[in-house]
Amino acid sequence: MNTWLFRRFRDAEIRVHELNYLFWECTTRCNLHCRHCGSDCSMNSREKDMPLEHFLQALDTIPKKDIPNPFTVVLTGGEPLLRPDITDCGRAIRQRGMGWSMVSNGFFYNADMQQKLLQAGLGALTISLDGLEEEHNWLRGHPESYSRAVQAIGLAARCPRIAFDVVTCVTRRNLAQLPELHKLLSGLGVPQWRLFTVIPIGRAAGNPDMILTPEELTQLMEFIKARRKEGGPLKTLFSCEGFLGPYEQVVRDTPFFCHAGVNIASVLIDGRICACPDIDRDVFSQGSIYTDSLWEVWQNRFQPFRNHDWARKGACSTCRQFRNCLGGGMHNWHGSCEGPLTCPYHDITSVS
Amino acid sequence: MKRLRNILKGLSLTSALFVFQACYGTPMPKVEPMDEEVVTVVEEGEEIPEDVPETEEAAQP
Repeated sequence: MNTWLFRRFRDAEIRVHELNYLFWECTTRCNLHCRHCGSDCSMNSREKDMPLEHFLQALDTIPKKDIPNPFTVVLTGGEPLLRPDITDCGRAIRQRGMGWSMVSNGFFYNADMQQKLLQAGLGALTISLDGLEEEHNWLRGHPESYSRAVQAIGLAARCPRIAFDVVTCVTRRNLAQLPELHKLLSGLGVPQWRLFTVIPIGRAAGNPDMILTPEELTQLMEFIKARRKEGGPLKTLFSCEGFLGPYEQVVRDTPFFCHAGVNIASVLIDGRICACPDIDRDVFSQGSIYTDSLWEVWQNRFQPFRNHDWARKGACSTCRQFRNCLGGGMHNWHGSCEGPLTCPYHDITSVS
Repeated sequence: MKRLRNILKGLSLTSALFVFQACYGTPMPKVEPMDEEVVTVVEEGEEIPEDVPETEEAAQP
């Protein structure tokens, strides 16, 4: 797509800012202890799960006439399947005419659970697989995490009622395993595979070895490019985490556009209202469901997400691609926001 | 602006632009009518799974 036209489209989307993708961080408890966790979740999370009624009260501030089609609530965590009332949560959302979906590590996803979730209206699912057995188990800190995830992936891939994909967080350790993983996922009948890289936040901040070098990032781009050229039933793509310069529209379908705060909001575990859960909540939270109306906040705040002029800092201050990139993904700005944490465009062009 | 956007959204060639996926999120869900979702065919003699609401007909003696 022509980049000028796309920028016009993007600017119009920002002006309209239709909310159609709402994360709910329904728990920060997690049965695994991943080395690259952006949320620093654990089994003994200090935060209690948010009661369903609290979330529903926030959801009900959205006027029915303003609920677009499609509209999805994405249950995330932590591990959402640790909530004993997960099906009640899903059903309550569906009864409001909205779709719902879930991001899971797959550990507790079995045939019985799938049946219950489908009955509660589950419409989409994403399961993480971060390498072949040894690598995945090392990264996830559990000896059964791989076998359980693969079992869950096979189950979900065969279910035609779920829009399903697998995500892999590409690190320096699993980069060489991607061809094998591609074979595995193809064999399981997975329709889509999304690859992304580690952002140095949360627990991942202490594991810089997992962050790809510019050469490795370019290798990853070439891998995805080759898979997409080959075609086949397993659609492979790079996630929308940043502007990629020469690989734009080569490794994904549409040009880079961070929808955080434009179409995406979140209700975080403590009630704060933000956009994607991996965005620095201390810097970018826009209110709280306990003191504000979610809908009012969406309508009247979120300015830093809809006008990125503040991001002309650090490496972005003089970059000629700023009009295409707008400072990259919002999750790339943390703390004092002196500059983006990573810049894939810089890394890729430094190699080529 | 919203009207124009809705027209564009309805056109199959451009709708891919509107159906995005957050970095750490899921694809957009397949949404089926709720009544289809709760109907589960249970074979004779098979145990009814939990969470399946009984219909009024089934509840009658």
